[in-house]
Amino acid sequence: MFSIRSFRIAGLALALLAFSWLAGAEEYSASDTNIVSDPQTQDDNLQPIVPAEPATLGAAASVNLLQEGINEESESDLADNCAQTIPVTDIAAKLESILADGSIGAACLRESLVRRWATNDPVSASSWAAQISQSSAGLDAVRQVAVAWAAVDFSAAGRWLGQLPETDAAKEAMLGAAYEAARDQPTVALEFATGLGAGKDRDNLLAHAAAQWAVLDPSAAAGWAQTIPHSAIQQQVIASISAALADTDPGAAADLASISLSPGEMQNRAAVEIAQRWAENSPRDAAAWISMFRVSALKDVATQDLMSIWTEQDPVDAADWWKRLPDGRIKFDASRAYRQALDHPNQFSKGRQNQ
Amino acid sequence: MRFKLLLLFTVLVGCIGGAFNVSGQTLQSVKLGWEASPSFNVIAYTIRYGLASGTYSYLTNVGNQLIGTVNDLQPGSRYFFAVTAMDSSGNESLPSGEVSYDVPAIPLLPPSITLSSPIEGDSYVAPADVTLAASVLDNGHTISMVQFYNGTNWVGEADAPPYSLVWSNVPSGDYVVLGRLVYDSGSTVDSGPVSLSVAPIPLSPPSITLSSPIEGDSYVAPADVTLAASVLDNGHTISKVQFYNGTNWVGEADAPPYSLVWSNVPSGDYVVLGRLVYDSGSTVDSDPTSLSVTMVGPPWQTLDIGNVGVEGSVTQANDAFTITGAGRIAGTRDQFQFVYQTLSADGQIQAQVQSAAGDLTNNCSGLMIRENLATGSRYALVGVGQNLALRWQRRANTWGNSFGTTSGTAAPPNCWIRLTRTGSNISGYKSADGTNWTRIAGRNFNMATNAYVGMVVASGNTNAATTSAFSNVSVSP
Repeated sequence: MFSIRSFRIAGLALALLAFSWLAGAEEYSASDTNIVSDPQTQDDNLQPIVPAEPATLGAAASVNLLQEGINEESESDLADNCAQTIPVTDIAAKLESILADGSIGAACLRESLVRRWATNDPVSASSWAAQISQSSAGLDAVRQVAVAWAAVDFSAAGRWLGQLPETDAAKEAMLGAAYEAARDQPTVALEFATGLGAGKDRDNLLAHAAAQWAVLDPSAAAGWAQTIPHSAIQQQVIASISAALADTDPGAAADLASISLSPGEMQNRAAVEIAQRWAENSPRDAAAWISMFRVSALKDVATQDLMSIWTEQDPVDAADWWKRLPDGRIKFDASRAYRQALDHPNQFSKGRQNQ
Repeated sequence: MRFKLLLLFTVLVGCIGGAFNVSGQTLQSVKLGWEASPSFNVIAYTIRYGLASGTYSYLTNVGNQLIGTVNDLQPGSRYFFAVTAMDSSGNESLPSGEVSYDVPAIPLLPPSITLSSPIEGDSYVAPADVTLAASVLDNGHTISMVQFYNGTNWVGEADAPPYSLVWSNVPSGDYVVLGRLVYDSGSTVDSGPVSLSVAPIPLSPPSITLSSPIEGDSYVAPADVTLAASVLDNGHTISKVQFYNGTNWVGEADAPPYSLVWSNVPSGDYVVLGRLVYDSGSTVDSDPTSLSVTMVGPPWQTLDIGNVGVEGSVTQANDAFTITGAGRIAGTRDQFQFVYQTLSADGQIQAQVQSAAGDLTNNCSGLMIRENLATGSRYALVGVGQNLALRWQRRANTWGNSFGTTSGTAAPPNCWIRLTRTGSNISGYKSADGTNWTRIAGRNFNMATNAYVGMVVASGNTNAATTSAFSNVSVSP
């Protein structure tokens, strides 16, 4: 099934491309988006969230609705697919032709085109975006260029953004670019983050990028974190690294959290995160570690998480463990978590999936 | 010519002509008298004497006198005396009959003893170690020992210089000590008494230590925090223990175990202490202890993503959460209340939606996997939106637009939702009973390995909040 709005997008694509493309677009929306119909609610059939009166909306109203995110899943895929068919050398002309179109479809297509352009020819894309950066569409374009460019060359993207007027939009674009870089080049993102002024944006980026670094080079990430002057942000970064490290080396993560985190909220959180991940990989070892916690709310939570995860993986082994606990609060917590996991299985276990 | 020498008397003249000491003795004199010589022509007499009978090594001319004094006799010696007469022609008679005289020995001065420690008026603190030491002048005597006495009670003795000892563990009190010098064949002489005082052990102030909470403890709001103190009275009278949050009185306990429950503590960071009140109102404080009360327990965290006009809030009871949030999850940027934890690679979150308030466009209460905490982050969302529509929504690109779709209508609390991340795929599911699940939608995301997973509530309005409730929340992070 294809909605009326899908046809509007398809119509826009038709204006830009060959007529024959529409059939392909429809096929793409059904097969590549992994949107599976709900057999119990066949009639619903994945209704798109349709604007109240899409056919009568003017350009401004359509843009507003887009900002509110009322879009069909397949709509963006259609736009992406459309953008992929346009040669890079033609993107500038296509963008100019739809720049004034305030429809949702045009906005989707602009986004896809700018992203594709910035990935393949960031200099040209950035130059174009800078020229229109005073408009709403231009601000979107600046952010998209920054993010796409940063994925391949963060430094170049940063230099370009640095040449733009220092606006909130430019700062947002830079932060988005840093997050984009953090995915594969966390040290680049960290270097940028350390230059930011103190605040939530800096701290969250530091913790996020450090966690990605911990995946690539755990010891380097942990070593770097130790060089941060002792502060709340150092604790946040180490907690983030220890959680990331726990997925592959929970013992090392436990050591890091025990030694480098001060007692308190941050250490407690890290302890539970490590216990969870350790339980996924080796519940017996996790249980041994949790057993060393002093009796506290933290131990309660860690024990409950352990039992939930362990019961998912191996209810017999989990039961054997908690039944051997001495009577008391921890045994009570463990038995309750065990029964809860049996009643409402999470049906997801890394440990089980890894088997 | 012979005449009779008459020993008239002897007089000890200790210092006639200046005394001098010879071996510690004072020289002595003796006065002699004799009868006149029968010869008529005598003009002078001479006293001759010596240390052996008949041998007169010394002489003293006394003139025509019938008495004479001999000085400088050695005490303790026996002298023999005779007198000769001389006439005007210079003839000296034979010596008179001889008399002897034992010059008495001068008795030795007794030895002396003075306490050099302690000094009069010295004071100590019990249990004291008092050094008793004496200076001794033997005056020629043989010193046996010095005994030290506390009043009449023997304390100890020293038989050789420097005549000292340590009187240990002396309890509090006033004392008079002396040294007794034992010499020669058991004679004794005492030093002058010396007074000293030993003050009682001063009472250490009592001590107080907070046994609960422990530094760094963390609670979930509204928290019931047990405040408990361990007290060491050190002999004092304990009145009560007061507990303070900073400078604010929280409560007090006037008897062991000195504890109370500080109830309904809201989220925040706190520094608490115990104040021990003792004796007549004196106080001593425990070391301060820091604790934090968070809206959610570990590993959960809360954050308002983006700029919201109304701050979000959360209450947690085990795996149940009531979340209030403003904002919208839409377009290229989001604003909402996020209750989250970290997600490493694959993982899942599942929850039962107990209630989902709000009927505005872009209102949503659901579950999210989000790449980062910035407002334009990539995310996948499954939840309950406007008119209780079950909703799948995502932002596939940073700062890109959000896209979504619906899948029927939810009927909380018979509404379970789930997000699963496997590799690059994130899929959303729904269930009416928490057992039988249906996949709503899914998509591949190029998302960082370490992301965030949690619950979201957005009212659909950045300046007004709505509240939704979740239960049976479980995460495989």
